[in-house]
Amino acid sequence: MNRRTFLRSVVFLSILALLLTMVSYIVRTNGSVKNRFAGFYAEPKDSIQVMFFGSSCVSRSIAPGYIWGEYGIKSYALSSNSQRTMAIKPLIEEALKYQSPEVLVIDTRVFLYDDAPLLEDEAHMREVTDNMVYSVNRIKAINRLTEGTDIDKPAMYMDIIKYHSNIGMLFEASELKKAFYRSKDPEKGFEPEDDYFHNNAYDQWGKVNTIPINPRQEEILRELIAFVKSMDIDTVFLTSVTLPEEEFEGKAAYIGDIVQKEGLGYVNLNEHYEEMEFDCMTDVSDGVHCNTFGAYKCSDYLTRYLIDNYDLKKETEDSEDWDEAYELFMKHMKDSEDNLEVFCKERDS
Amino acid sequence: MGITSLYYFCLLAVGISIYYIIPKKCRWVWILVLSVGYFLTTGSALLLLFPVLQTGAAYLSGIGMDKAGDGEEAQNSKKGWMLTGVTGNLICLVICKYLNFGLYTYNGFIDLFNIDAQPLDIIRIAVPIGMSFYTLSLIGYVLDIYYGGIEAERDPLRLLTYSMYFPAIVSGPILRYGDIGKSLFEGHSYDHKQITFGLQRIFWGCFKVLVISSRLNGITAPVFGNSGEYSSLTLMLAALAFVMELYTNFSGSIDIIMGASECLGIKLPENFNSPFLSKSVQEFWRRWHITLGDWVKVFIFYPLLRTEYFRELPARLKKGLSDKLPGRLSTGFSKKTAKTVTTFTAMFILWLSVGLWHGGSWKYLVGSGILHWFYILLEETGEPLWSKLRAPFKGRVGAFVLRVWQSVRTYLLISIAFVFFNSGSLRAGFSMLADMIANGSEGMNASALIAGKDAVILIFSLLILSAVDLAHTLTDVREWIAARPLPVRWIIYYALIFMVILLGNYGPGYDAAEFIYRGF
Repeated sequence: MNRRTFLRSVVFLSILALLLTMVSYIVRTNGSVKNRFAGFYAEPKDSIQVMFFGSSCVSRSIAPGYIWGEYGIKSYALSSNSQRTMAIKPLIEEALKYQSPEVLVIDTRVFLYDDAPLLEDEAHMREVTDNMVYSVNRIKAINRLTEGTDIDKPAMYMDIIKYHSNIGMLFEASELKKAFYRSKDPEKGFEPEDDYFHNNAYDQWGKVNTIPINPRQEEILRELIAFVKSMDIDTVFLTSVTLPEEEFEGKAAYIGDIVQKEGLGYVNLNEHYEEMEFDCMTDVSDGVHCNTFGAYKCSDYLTRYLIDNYDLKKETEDSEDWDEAYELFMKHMKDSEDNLEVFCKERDS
Repeated sequence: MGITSLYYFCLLAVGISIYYIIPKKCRWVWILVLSVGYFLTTGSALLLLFPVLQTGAAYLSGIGMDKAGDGEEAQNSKKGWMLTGVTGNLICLVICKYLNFGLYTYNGFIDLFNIDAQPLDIIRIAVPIGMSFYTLSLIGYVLDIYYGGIEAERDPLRLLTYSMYFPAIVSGPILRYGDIGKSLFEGHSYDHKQITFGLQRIFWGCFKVLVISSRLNGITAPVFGNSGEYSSLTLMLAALAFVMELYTNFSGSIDIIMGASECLGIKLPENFNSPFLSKSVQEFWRRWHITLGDWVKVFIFYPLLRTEYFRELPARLKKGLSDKLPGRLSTGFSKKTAKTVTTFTAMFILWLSVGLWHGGSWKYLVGSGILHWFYILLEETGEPLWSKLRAPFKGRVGAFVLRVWQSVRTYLLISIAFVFFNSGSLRAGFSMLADMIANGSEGMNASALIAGKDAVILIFSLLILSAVDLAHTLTDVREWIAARPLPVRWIIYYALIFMVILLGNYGPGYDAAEFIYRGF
C-alpha cells in the first residue's frame, strides 16, 4: 500500500467512524433521560457546582432551574430511571471528567431494594451506559454492570446494534441536534410531574429500628463511600421523599448510620416534612415521586442545607440559559397550581 | 458463528491482517488454521473427524490413482482407487444426511398403506457444517484426477485446506481443485483494489441478507406451515416472496463468502448470475447455484451419457424396447425422439441428484429436483407450440413484452416448485398449493404480515437490488464505481454501509439472518 492509498484509507475510516458515532447518538432512544445526559455534556466545562446522582426520584424532586433562580447555584440532576447502584461510581467518574463540582449529592433510593432484580434489568442498565458518550469510562461502566450477567456485551459497547432500527430519529430535528451528544437541556435534568397522588396514607416517616440492607448493596455503598472520599469532594447522601414502609424506613436509617460514621453528610427528606412544609396531599405525583410542588420544596430545603453545611458560593455572572431554566420551572409551578385547582374541583364535585 | 455476526467480521479482520503479515510460504497454513478454527466454532470438535476422514479418503484415492500408472490393468486399479474415494465420501454423506430419508420413507409408506408394522425411530445425527458442499468438492477432486483433468495433491494438509476452506465451507460455492488449488496456496501479495472490492462485496451480501431476506422472512415464515389461516392472495404472495428470500439469502451469503475470499486474494467461482432475468427454467438453472449445476453436469450427466447403456439407448429406442411394452416403446421412436428420450432420461437422474443433494426428504426431491426436470421437459418438447405462441410478439415493443413475460413466467414456475422447498414436508407443500386455490378471500391478508416502515424499506431495497442486478448485466458494477470521482465513490460506499447498519434486521431480538443453505 503506498502512502497516498494509506492516507486515503485513514481519512475514509475516520469519516466513517465519525458518521457512525453521530448516527449512533441520534438513533439512541429519545426521551427525558437522553435529553438530560446530552444536556449535561453540553454544559460548559467546570461550570456546575452541585451534581445530583440517583434514580428517577432525583429528576422529579430536584429542580436545578429553581436552585439557580433563588440561590444562584448551578446544579445538575444526572439521574436515570431505577439507576443501578453499580452505575453510580462510573457515572460520577464520567461527570468529573467534565465538571469539578463542589458537592456531590447521591440519592440512596435504589440502595433500599435488593439489587438482584435490577442486575438482570438490561433496560435500566442501558439508561446509563447508552446515554454516555463513547469513552473509556463507558467501557468501564459496561464491564462493571454486565459482570456476571449473560447480556450481549458487543451490543452494549456498540449500542447502534440495538437501536439501529430507530431510523425515524434521523428525521427529527430534536434528535439531529444530539449528533455530538451535546444539546442543552432547558430543564437541567429536572423532569416535571403534574399529577397528584392524593393519598392520606402518605404520611411522615416515624423512627424505627434499623434494618440491614442487602449485603451486595452494602458492599456497593461502602465502595462508593470509599471512592468519593478518595476524590476529596464534599458528598451528601440523600433519601428522597418516598412512601412510608417499615422496611424502607429501617433500611434508610441503616444507610444513614453507615454514611455518617464515615464522616459524610446524610439527609433523609422524609424526616423533615414540617420544615419543608411538605404536604403529602398536594406534593406527590405517585407513591414514589414528587410533583412540581414537591420538587420546589425538596430543592429549596436541600439547597438551604447545602449552603448551611458546605462552602457554596453564589454565582454572580449572568447566564441566559439558566435564567430560562428558572422561568421554565416557574411556568411549571403556575401550570401545577392551575391543575391543582381543576383537580380539587373535580374531586369535591 | 453466523457469517453476518460481529464475531465473524472480527475473525475476518484478524485473519486477513495476519495473512498479509506472515511470510507468503506460510499463508496457506494460516488459512487452514482459520478454517479449522471457524469449523470448531460451529459445532462439536468431534465433527471435525468427518472432513478429516473424507479428505483422507480423497487424498489416498488421488495418490493411488497417480501411482497406478498406464495400461489396462492400471486403468482398473485407477478405477478402484476412484471408487474408493467417491464411495468413502458418499458413505459419510449418506450416514449423516440420508439415513433418516430411508426411515421417513419407510414410515410414510406403512402409514399410507396402513401396513401393520412398527414405525422406525428417527436417528438424531449431528451434521458437520457445509457437508454437502465440501463432499461434492472432494468427489469432484477425485473424479477430476480420474478423468485426467488434474494431478493428485501430494500434501494432505493442502487438500484439507481446500476441502475446509473457511469462507466457502459455510454455504459454498462448490469448488473445483483445478480452479482454486493454485490460488489457495500461492500466498498472495496485498492488493488494495482487491481488498476494497472484497469489502464492497461483503457489504452488498449483508445488504441482501440483513435488509431484504430477513424482511421477506417476516412475510414467509408465518405463512408456510399455516396456510389454512391465510387468504389465497396472501399465500401466493408468500410463495413469490420466498423465491426472492431464498435468492437474497443464498446469493447474499455467497457474496459475503466471495468477498471474504477476495480479501485473501483468492477468487471463487460465481454462483449466481441475475437468475430472475432467465427466459426459461433451463436458463434459470444456468444462472442459479451455478457451481452445483456445473458439478452435476460434469460429474453425473456427461459421464452418464458416456455409459454403454445410454450410448446404446437411442438405437434400442429406435428399434423398440420390447414387444410387451405399449405403443412406441414396442414399435420404436424416430431417431430424433429416441435421442430426446435418452437425454431426458439422463436428465431425470441429474435432477434426482440435484433434489437429493438439497436433503434427504421428498420435498427436496420434488421441489428442487423432479419438478424442474418436468418444467424443462415441457419447455423442450412443447417448443413447436411455444414458438407459434411467440410469433405474434414482433418489433421492439413485442419483443420487450415477450421478454418480460418469459421472465415472469419463469419466476412463477420456480415459485411453485420452491413452495415444497420451504414447506415442512411434501404433503405440506401440496396442502399449501391447494389452499392457494381453495382459501379465496378467507383468512388473513398480507397487510397482517408486513406494513408501514418495513414495507417501504423492503420496496426501496428491492428496487436497489433490481437496479444493481440489471446494471450487472451491462457492466462490472464495482469497476464502474471504481471509475467514478472519489467523492461519488465514497458517497456510494457510505450509503451502502449505512443502509446495512440502519436498515438491517440484526442485533438483540433478531435471528432471521440465519442462512437457509447453511444446513446443506
